[in-house]
This record gives sequence, structure tokens and C-alpha cells, in this order.
Amino acid sequence: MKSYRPRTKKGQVTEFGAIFSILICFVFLPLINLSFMPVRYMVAQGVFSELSRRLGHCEKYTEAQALMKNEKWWSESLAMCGVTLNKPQLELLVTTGDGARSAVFSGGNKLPDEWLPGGANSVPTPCIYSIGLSADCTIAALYQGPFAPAVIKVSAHSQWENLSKDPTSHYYFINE
Amino acid sequence: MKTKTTSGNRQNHSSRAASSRQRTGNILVVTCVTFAVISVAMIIGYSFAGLYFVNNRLQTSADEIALAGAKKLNDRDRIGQMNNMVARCRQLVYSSRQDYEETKKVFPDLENFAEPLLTEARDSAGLLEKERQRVSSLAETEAMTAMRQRFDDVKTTYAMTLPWMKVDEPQLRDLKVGRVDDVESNVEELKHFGDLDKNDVAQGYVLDLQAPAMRLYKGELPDGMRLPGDDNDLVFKLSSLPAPVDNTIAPARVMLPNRVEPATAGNAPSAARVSLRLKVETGLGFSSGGVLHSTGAASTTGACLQQ
Repeated sequence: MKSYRPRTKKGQVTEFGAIFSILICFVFLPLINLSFMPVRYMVAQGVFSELSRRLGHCEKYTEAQALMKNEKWWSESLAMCGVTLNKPQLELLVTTGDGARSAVFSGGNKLPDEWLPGGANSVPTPCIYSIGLSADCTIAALYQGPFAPAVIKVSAHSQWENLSKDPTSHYYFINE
Repeated sequence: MKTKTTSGNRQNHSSRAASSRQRTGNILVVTCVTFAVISVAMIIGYSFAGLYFVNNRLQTSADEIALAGAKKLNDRDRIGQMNNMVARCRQLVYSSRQDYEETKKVFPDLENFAEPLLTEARDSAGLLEKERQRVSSLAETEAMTAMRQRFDDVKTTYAMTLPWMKVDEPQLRDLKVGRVDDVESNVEELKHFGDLDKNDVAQGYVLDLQAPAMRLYKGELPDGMRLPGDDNDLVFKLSSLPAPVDNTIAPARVMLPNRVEPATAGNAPSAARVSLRLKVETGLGFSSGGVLHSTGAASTTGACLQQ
């Protein structure tokens, strides 16, 4: 005859403790570990937004390039958060006033006349100029272990503010 | 025997029930722990996202307030026109002095006619300087008022209390007007008097650059511009303002705060700078918070073309 023996509290704790340990080790800790990735992504996005805002407020395009190259706070902040940057790129995005057409100029290429303020594409409504920053970011979990780091393209755009001309060269500051 | 069996069954039932209760309890504990962990994670996430959002908003507000002030500075091109008038008035005094000297030498009888013209030109320079100071002061006052008004409009939209975050009203930490570094006056060198041109270059009043660069009078010279000779007592001051280049007028714009310098005394400002602070508390189960700071700066609209 099969008899049922009531479980002792000690046994229940042992059984529950094991399950709890498994839960913590294999569910909670990996989840917490992985949850650092979206947080780091948000931090990277925030840093990119702030940097692009500052770049958009520069006097000249070359000044924006120099700012991106020389300022260390943003790359150091990202490095501190475990985000590795690959080939950060600066680009100018010009969109017609009606939003129908747009053009991207990167690698220090100058804007052709038709895309400049007052150019053919700025009639009848002026074009919208923005400066963009993008990079492939390698975002790792807190403890890498078996989790491969994710490579995510992070980008941010900010309006280019200085649409005037340089009295010295007569070029638009955006092309200098 | 029968009784014993019944008793055994009861025992079995009660132990199963006890075991079942205990298992249900386990799941409850695990659920509670899971829920607590997720809740804490969510509160941290919301707080973090909230801080990020509020910080961006504060920066946008600072830029917006600075731009509102900067636009007022050169409202209807008052600074640009004043600069043009000052430069031309200087030329008028120089020209009147030359005419007077020549008349005195060549037509001594007409000296009495030439002298009032010179006096009038000199008086007009004095009056213009007073008006320039009045316009500078007015521009500054109006810009400050515009910034304070914009701030008052904006600040009421901030305060909020959420379970995970508390945001106070922002405070105005600093409000300044000044000039943009490396920006000279909007007036191009006037070329009608060779001697005066040479004097201006020698004295360093003009940007001595080769074509196609515009030869602009320097803005905000510490001692102003003076005339050679007997009219050396008159001071002509030009404020810093972006010049129109090839009919392109520089629009008002937001800029980096570190480019704003204090305007020298008596000169009309051409840029505005504002600093805001905002107290924020996050609800992480304990009182945690801090103060966010943001600084915005903007440059005024550049000068229009000379009429």
C-alpha cells in the first residue's frame, strides 16, 4: 500500500530554494544582464542627439568636423557605458521645403549650387538643412559571457542653424 | 480495519492538500519576486527616460528663450542702420572739416558759411552718439523683456508629479546679452576719401583683407574710431553685427553658448544667452534627484542692405 508522507518544511525550502536558484541564475540574471543593452542603446542615442545638436550650432561645417574629432566627452561617455564606436560619419541632409526631394552629402563634399540656400531647389520654399551623425555601435551586455554584442546603427540629426555667408570668402558657412 | 482505512485516506487527503497549498504558495512567492523585480526595472527605466526627456526639453526651452531675445536685438535692423549712420556721419564730419579748411584757404570770405556746416556735422555726430546709446539700451531692455516673457510662458508647462518622477518649475539662472566673437560690424569700408581710408587702415579700424573679402569696419573697438586732426575729440562706435553678403542677410539663429562674449560698454549687443536650472526628483523608492542645467545662446538677425 502506497503511503503519503507529509513534506517537512525543510524539504520544501530545499526544493523551493533550488527552483529559486535556477530562476535567478538562468532567468533573472541573464535578463538583467541583457537589459543593459537597451539602456546602453538609449545612452548612445542620447549622446548622439546631444552631439548632433552641438554640431548643428557650429559656425562652419569644418568647425563641426573639428568639434566631432576633437571633443572627447562623447566618445569617452560611450566607452564608459560599454559602447564601441565604428566609423562615425558626419553628413548633411538637405530636404526641399515640400519634402519631395532630399540629398545627402557626406565625406566633406560641398553642397552644389542648386542645394544651397537661394538655389534652384529652394524655390518657392526654402530647403531644410540638417546635420547628421551616424555610426555602427557595438553594444555589449553587462557580462558578455555567451551573449554576442549587438551591432546597431545609431544616428541622430539636428537642424543646421547658420545659413549665412562668410564675408571673407563669400561662401555659405555650410560649405566652409 | 475499515476505520483504519478511513483514517489513512483522511491522512492522505490532508497531506495532498498541504502539499498543494505549499506549491501554490511557492508560485505566489516567485510571482511576487518577479513582479517586484520587473516593477523596479520599470521605475528605473521610466525615471531614466523621463530625465532624458526633461533634459532635452530644458535645452530646447533655453534655445527658444535665447532666440526670442536675440530676435529683438536687431528688430527692424535698428543696430545695422545705426552702424551705417555712424560710419557715414564720421565721413560727413571729415568731409566738412576738409571743406572748411579749403574754404578758409581758398575763399576766406566764405569761411563764415563753411563753419556752420562743420559745426552742424560735429553736433550731429554728438546727437547721433546719444541716439546710438539710447538704441543700444532700448535693444537690450527689449531683448531682456522678451526673454523674461518667453520664460514666463514656458515655465508653467514644466511642473508635474508622476509616481516615478517629480519636476519643479525651471528657474532663470542667468540672462545675458553680448556679441558673437569674430563678428565685425556690418559696414563696409567707405571709399571716398583716400586719406581717411589710409588712416583707417593704419589705425586698424578696418579688416585689411584682399578681395573677394569684404573690408568691414571692426566692431566694438575698445576706444571707438576717431578722426585724424582737429576732430580727434569725437568718438564713433560701431557695434558688432553680421554683414549682408551678396544680398544674403544672416538669419537669427541658435548657436553654441561659448561663442557669446560680453559686449563692450555702450555698444549694442547682437547675441543673447540664457541659463536655466530645473530641480528634478526621481521616484526610485527613496528620495533621489538633482538639478539639471541648460544654457542656450542665439545670434540676432544680420544687418539688411544699405538703403
